[in-house]
Amino acid sequence: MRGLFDRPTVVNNVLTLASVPAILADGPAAYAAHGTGRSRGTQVFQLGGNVLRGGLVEVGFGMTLRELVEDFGGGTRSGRPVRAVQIGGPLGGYLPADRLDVPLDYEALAAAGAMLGHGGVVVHDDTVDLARMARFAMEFCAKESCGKCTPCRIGSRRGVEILDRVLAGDRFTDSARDADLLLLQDLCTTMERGSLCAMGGLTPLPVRTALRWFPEDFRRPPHADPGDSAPQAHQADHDRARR
Amino acid sequence: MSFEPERDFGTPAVAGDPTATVAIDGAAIAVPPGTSVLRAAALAGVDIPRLCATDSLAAFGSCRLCLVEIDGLPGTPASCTTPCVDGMTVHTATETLAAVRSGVMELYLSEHPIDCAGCARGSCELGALARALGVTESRYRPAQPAPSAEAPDESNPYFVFDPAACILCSRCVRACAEVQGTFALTIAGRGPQSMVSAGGTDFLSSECVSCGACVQACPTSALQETSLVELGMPTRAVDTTCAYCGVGCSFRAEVQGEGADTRVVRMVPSRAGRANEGHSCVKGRFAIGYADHPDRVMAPMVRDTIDDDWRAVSWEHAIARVADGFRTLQTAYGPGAIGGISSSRCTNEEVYVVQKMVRAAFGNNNIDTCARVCHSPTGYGLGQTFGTSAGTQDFASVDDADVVLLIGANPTDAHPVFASRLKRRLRAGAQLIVADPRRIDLVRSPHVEAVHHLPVRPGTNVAFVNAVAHVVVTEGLADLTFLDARCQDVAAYLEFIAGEEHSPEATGAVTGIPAADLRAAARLFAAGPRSAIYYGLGVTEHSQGSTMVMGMANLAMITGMIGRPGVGVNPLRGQNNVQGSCDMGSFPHELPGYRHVSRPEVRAIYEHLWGVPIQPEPGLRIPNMLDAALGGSFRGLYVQGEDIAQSDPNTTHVVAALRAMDLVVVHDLFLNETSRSAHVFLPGSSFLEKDGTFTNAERRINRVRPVMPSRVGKDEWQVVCEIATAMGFAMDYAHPREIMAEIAATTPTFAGVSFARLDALGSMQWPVPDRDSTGTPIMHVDAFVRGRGRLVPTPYVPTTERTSRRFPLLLTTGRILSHYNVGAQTRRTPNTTWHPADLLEIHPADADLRGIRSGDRVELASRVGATWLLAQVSERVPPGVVYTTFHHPETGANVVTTDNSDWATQCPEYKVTAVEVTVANAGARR
Ligand code: SF4
Ligand code: SF4
Ligand code: SF4
Ligand code: FES
Repeated sequence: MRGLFDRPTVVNNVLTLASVPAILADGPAAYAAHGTGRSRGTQVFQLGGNVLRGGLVEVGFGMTLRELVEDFGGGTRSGRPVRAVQIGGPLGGYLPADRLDVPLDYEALAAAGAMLGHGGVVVHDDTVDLARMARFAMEFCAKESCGKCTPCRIGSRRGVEILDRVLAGDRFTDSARDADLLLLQDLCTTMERGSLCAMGGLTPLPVRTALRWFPEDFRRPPHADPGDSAPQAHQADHDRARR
Repeated sequence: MSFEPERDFGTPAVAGDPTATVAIDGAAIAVPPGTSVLRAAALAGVDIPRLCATDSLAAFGSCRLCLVEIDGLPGTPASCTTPCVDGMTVHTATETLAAVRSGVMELYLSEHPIDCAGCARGSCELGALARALGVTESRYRPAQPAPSAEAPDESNPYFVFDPAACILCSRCVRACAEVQGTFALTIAGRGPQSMVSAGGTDFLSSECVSCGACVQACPTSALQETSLVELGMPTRAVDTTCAYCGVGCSFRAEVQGEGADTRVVRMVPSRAGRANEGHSCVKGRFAIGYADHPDRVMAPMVRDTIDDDWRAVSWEHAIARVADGFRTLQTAYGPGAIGGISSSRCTNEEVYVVQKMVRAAFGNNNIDTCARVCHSPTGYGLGQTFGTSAGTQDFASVDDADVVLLIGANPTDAHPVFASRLKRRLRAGAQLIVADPRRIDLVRSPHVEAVHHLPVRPGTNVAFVNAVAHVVVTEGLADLTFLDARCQDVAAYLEFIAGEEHSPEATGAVTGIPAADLRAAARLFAAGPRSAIYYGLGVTEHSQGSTMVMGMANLAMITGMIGRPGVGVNPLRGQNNVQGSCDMGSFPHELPGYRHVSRPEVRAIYEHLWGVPIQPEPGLRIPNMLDAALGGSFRGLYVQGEDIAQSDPNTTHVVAALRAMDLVVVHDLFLNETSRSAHVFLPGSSFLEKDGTFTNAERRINRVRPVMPSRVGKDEWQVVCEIATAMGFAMDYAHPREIMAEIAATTPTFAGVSFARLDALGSMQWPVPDRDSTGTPIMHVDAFVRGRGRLVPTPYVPTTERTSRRFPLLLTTGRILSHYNVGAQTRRTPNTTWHPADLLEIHPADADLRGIRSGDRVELASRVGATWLLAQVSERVPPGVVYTTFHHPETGANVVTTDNSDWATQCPEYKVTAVEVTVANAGARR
């Protein structure tokens, strides 16, 4: 292995490198003065989804998620109540509206069962179907998996299939659905513990938080209107947020 | 007997002292730091479930079954990719782990056919592991079949690829890359769409060379030997040695049945084999079907004249006919009227008894070997300079080489398993110089590229090697300290080689090598720090073959590249036991161990043991026997396992000589060109029936063990002993081990060899001077065998075979991967799939000039004769040179080669013949 131009080489992402000029200009102490607890400095959040004012927000660690969504984002674009916020990117966890007072730092988010990830924040209003969002996480994993390890390569596909059955609701008895939801939990364990990298290892996070905070979404009767466009819209929000 | 596969420790061994002590499920084990937890566990007797790991490949970490828990580390790391650190405490069987493992297994099973034939057969590790984990079915109900559920690929004659059973572990892809070095396989697609692909085509049309490494590595039945599919699982295994090339790969013959009913299910190269370390080529692994080909002769046959039909007779009858016939000829024409030819395909024990029969029962030294036609110059050249007739290194030495100079050898075709080892070393950074008229594969192949390809014109090797030595000496690159301490005749040689006539500028016109390239290559070689020479028949089969061998020995000495790992002068021997047959006294002038027959103290050893006088004068060499036959004084010949009428030069001359004899006895598996002129045919046994030893190109004595009893009723050594006994000289051994005991008792270099020691140690490299020695991997370490290494001036003398207006092209010959020698074995196997006919390679410029296109039938004519074959227009050969193989008798390539031979050893000059090529039948164009 060789560095660039055969010299010692640092590989970092743009966010890290972008904070270097400020640290060099104002000194490390000024940078460390931002933030809270063990999370020092600033973080750039990508605020997106169903939000009035989306965009990039750089703040010191410690502001709450609610402040970010409501003060900076101005609430939902649709004007309907916020129901769920996904934080950390497409493989980040969902938090329900009543748990948005969590401070945005590594430790507090971890305690809340979520993670900071790359700072992506996607806002959903009360029309969101979290079972569909869980399916989206599995589908995303199936699309992006490199295929090297088994839990991710096969697991993501099986996850999509289980959630398709759950979403199709009417064709299943309760006990069949219970079995499927148990299987989904087991699959999440296998992927979390077994996957080679964070791709397969983190996919269970959105699925599990959706199951945990929004269990009712996984026990709905079949959609009255199969043409319901809401889930697609949420998916589009996601795609926009990723871009 | 029950069948146990060879133990697999999961990941490769790590070199070093066992300074890391780890506790695995309570068992403490010390391993070299860096050893994987998986391997340490296996060594401690703890079997961690795994599917993607095997100890021939670097750890990959994809199946996620080998997860463990380690005190102080978060999560469940994969044991195959986690290195041991001193003091680690590892748990391999917790509840958490069991849950993840069955979770993974359920995922596998969700894509694995319920009716997997391999699982039922027991050749699919997935099924066995699922049972072991207690996972009998998968709760998943897949909506779609696995993406790879395509029809099986049956294009390769020896193995099937069934994508439905594939678990995407990449072991095949990695084996093809890491072990074989061919890079034919890849994982196409990504994520759940991943599938194994032979470069987007079927296996047969791909780059695949059918080595079988992928099949061996595959844990499921996705890649499986066709023979295993047909016959089912083996029931026992016998360790033995390949009977094809001089690499001498160790195999486990996995078989069913006992005694005469034994059937070979498959050949699996053994990991413990030190020449091959678990790898093999298409010949050794797959091309063994000839052993029960219907052409095989199963009973002795005789006839009165060569125009009569063969008559099957009893062994007693045949042996009496041979013994009486030979004695009658000796009575009528003198003791020297008969002789024998031993075979480089036979075991050391078989060869030893043949030369003993000739020396003691025939009472003369008229014994020669087919090694005459390939590597006799090696024996002479290395004997003169270093003092012994053998390569200086073990194969593993190449792992330490920094620069490899490859001359007149094409290892990827002729010594494939050594080639794989060499390629591995080159991928790791060693540099390669190829000196060969052809652009052999190693000049440029995936992830391997020669730094220099020096296209030395056929017949000018000596001018080339002298030029290299000239650069070393005149540019001050010689290792004078080494020369001073270790060599003799130094000053004379240095003065000789410094002569301006050896400069690259002066020799370039002859060799065709640009001076600048040659100088660069010479500097690279001299710089080393560890530079090794490997060479093949492209060196020896020349009128100056012996000179060239000495030239290379000189080069190694002046650069100090001898006597340590990574250096040396190494012949790549053609046939499996060409080394051994030479060691065993097959030459007319040498008793076993290369001791001249004129030495009374050596003769005394045998005279004392055998109770008969040994002739002090060398006997006849093969060419002399043939000439004497035409002259009327040589009347009877015993030929073992060799088709001299096809493989010797100038076929017409050989046949005429054979026809002039009264009694020609052929001892072989199949009727052949020689037996057309024979009076007695004695059926031989295949290597599957032999008990004995072969010695490979690195002097390694390997055991050949019988998988089944002789299918023709008598072992070859027995037949020879019975002939000798019937001639009045009793030769009586109860078992081949007694023959080896006699060899050890009479030959100092074999003194410490016995079957029992070989069985215990696996193999040994001679010299084995006593029973405390376990052999000598590297020779000439502190002193040369002859004391001081001798530098011999090597003037270049052009061959008399030159191009002319009538014969403007030079023909040179070689071999191809899928075939062996004259093809008697390989042509009787599906290996013909790859090379159904010999082709004549011709450069586009020469082809254009003659209106030749690929596929044309062309006439190849020399001053001696003509033959016909199909042309292949190719830039592998330089302009002015044409090339063919000699695997098919129809080609009769030797019909056109001349009587020229090496001045010292009469090794024929196969590699240079002036020829002309013309379109024979343009109508054959497709
Ligand atoms: S048989 Fe050998 S060359 Fe062919 S794909 Fe398998 S490993 Fe590669
Ligand atoms: S063919 Fe065999 S070795 Fe290759 S990926 Fe599939 S299961 Fe693994
Ligand atoms: S032919 Fe040579 S390389 Fe191939 S398996 Fe036999 S000994 Fe090994
Ligand atoms: S054996 Fe370790 S991940 Fe497959």
